[in-house]
Amino acid sequence: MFLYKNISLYKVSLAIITIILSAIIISCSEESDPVAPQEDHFEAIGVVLYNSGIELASILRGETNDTLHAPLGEISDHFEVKFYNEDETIIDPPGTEHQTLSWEIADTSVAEVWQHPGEEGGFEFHLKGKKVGTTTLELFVLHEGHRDFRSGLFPVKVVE
Amino acid sequence: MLKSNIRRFRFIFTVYCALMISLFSVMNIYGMNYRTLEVNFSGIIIDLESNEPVEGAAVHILENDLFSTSDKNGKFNFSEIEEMIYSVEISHVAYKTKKITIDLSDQRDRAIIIYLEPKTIEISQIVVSTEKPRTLFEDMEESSNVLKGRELEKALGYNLAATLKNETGLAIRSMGPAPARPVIRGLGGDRVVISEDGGKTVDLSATSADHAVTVETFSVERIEVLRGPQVLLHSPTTIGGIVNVVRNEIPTERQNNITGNIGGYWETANSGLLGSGVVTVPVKNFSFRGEFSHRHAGDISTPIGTLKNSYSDNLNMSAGAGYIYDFGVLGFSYRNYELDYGVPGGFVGAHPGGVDIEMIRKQFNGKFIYNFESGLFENLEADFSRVYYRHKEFEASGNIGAEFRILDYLGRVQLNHRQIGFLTSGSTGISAEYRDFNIGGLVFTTPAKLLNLSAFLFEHFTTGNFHYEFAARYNIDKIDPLHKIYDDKLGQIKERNFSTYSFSFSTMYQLSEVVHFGANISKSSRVPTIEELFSRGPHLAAYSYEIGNPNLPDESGLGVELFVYHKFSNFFFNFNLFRNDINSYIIPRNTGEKNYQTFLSVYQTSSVDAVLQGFEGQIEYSPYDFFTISANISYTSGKYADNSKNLPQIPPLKSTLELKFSYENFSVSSGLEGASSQRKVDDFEQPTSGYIILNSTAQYSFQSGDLIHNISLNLDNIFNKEYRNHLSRVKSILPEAGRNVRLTYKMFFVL
Repeated sequence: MFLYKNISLYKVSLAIITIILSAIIISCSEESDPVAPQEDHFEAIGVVLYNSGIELASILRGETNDTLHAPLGEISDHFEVKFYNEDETIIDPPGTEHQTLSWEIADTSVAEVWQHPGEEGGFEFHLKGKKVGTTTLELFVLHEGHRDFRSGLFPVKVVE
Repeated sequence: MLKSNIRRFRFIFTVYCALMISLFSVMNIYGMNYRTLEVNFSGIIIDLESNEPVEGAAVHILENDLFSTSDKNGKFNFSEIEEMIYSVEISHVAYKTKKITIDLSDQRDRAIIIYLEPKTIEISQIVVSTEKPRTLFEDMEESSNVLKGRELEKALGYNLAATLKNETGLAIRSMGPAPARPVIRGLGGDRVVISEDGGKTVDLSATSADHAVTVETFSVERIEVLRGPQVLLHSPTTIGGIVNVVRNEIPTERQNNITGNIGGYWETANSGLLGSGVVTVPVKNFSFRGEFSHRHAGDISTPIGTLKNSYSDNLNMSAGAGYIYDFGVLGFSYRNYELDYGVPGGFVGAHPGGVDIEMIRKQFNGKFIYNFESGLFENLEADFSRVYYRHKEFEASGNIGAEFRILDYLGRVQLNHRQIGFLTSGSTGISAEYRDFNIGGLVFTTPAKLLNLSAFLFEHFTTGNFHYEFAARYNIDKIDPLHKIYDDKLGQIKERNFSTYSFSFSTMYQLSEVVHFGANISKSSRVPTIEELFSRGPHLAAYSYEIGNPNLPDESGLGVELFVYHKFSNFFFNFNLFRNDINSYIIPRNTGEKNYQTFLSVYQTSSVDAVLQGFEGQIEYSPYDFFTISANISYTSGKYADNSKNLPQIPPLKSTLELKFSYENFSVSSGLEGASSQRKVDDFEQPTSGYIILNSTAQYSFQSGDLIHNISLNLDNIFNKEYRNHLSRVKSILPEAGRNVRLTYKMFFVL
């Protein structure tokens, strides 16, 4: 009952089965692309900025009373980034090379972030004022392309 | 004398021959003329509602008592009949008999299209064909919960949910136009199973509002909403339902001709374009089917502006083959579905520019049907599927925010029996599913593996004027997380095992040939999903920080439904009252808190006791052949059982009203679609205002040769009314689509 009745029918069947099996094999080979890893996410609820051990500003649960200042046309003091964990204890930044600092400035014509050459992505930065005005800065911990953490908005003021 | 006689004979013979030749010549001339007075008359008989060819219709030319019967492709033919005006009667046991007059007096061959209207009369156990309803329950289902043919083309929307939005009892959960999913009687998620040709559609649309359903609707033959005992053949959640899309991706019927359709549409609200083609080719005992569609839609325009990042692009292909022989069918198919779409942003908790999602589903299906010639059993059906599903959620910067991958194996064996004692018909079987679920990106939910084993039973029987359906299902589920650790937010993540059962019993009393009363009682079960158990972390496109609950119990519901069902030649109505008491109803609730690592709203999965109750009704009345008025109404109330507060995401009262005029192959309809305001909302949920919008549709069908052309012109939201869907997650930023003009063309061919 299951036997093919003639050779032409056999050829047609074989061709179709070959095509579909080929499609399956091709599609299966595309499935080997690994899923982005999840491990070692960094968890925090706030940021503290220091300069030589002196606290300059902090933001906790997205709220801050501090404003960062950047001199016009010049590089600001050094900002060292630390974090608050869920117990509001200050912790060091993540230590792996896969987790880096990134940021967004709302109006990049007012100010920009500057890092020392060779230290890009590290948890230290300076601000550089480009024109007098105000904008906001949000800091992120970037991990394999994902944002593990976002700080909320720091006001930034550029003065002469 | 002899010579004289010979001469006389020769003369007579010559005259005879001359006369005969003349006679033959005259006859020949007349004969030729007679043939010029003969014409060929052929046509195709089509189901008015489904657009499918009608096989076995008797075509009777009354004047000369000639008969022909339509073949599997609906074709009939009369050769060389005298040219004149004929009365033709077309009859079929499942359709209203139709009489037409055809003028063949102009010496031209004729090929026509004849639409037959399905009979809407009493049927108890009449088996009209394998595709027609076989029981009263199926007849009721067919009348009230099926979209097909021209009705489907008219209702065709942006996606599956939009296509079903005006069906009784259904609403749409959405997060922009592309990610939308049907909700039945206020129940969403995987309480509503979406299936294709009876096989579960594997994607993540049930788990989150931003995940799209991976089904293209333009190329489907019909969409049916299944409720009641038959749900348990496929799913344990009988208080919800199944939305089944029928394509016959693996051909299971032998046909004589190449058939198919090509078509497309264009619409204005999103500059949408779609092209589609389906072809089925028979080769001896094989039947091959191919399908292709491509849809592009831009950002959708609303009465108050464009909803940014609401685009979508879809590429859909499949190939299937069936070997159809006396023993039954052996077949397989392969489908590739790709969808890229945007989730709008710009509201509290959302990314300003929205999120982009790429998803792909690759599915291999195998099918085997073995028909028993005699005995208790009618046939054995076995289905197998392997599904690879993956989707990535991208931030505006192009970084991957979340990634999900499913590798799923599904198998099912079902044995269907003929009459056994008082049991008219029924099925029993087993099914299994193995799912490997992997998660990556900025989602901390543990990957997990799921195993489900089920056994099910379905029976139908009749005693006197009572008709019964009964079904039961037993399930064993094992959910095995990869990381069995203690988590400070979730607690101990551990393996979970469930054993659950469901049953459903329906009865219908046939008060008269056209009036039926009925009731259903169901015990439904549902196990928590992997996401509900182990979610922990931000979900980029859903704009939520999701926290699951590893200790969730299984969800158990007791549903009761009463219905009355009236079906006559020109009048149909159906009214249902329902109440579902659900223990451990699993819902993600907005806690009102923010996660200060991501600034997303925290949604905590919890289980509560809940009561969902309501009513729904539909009516269709045709006082004249050319005029039909129809309406439907649906209402659901959802409350927490312990404090009678409102459940979240319950659709408001919804209704439609439509007037339709039909003449021959042309119809035009106008209708109102509306919903009341929804003020009964959960904590931290926004209320929604009511609305009424006006829609209109014109449809025309015609035939040229072996081609049937259907054209639909839809005008949606004609007055460009601003309105919002209560179940839309983006309703706070922009309303639903504004005025839309959609032109749809579909051409069916039989070669």
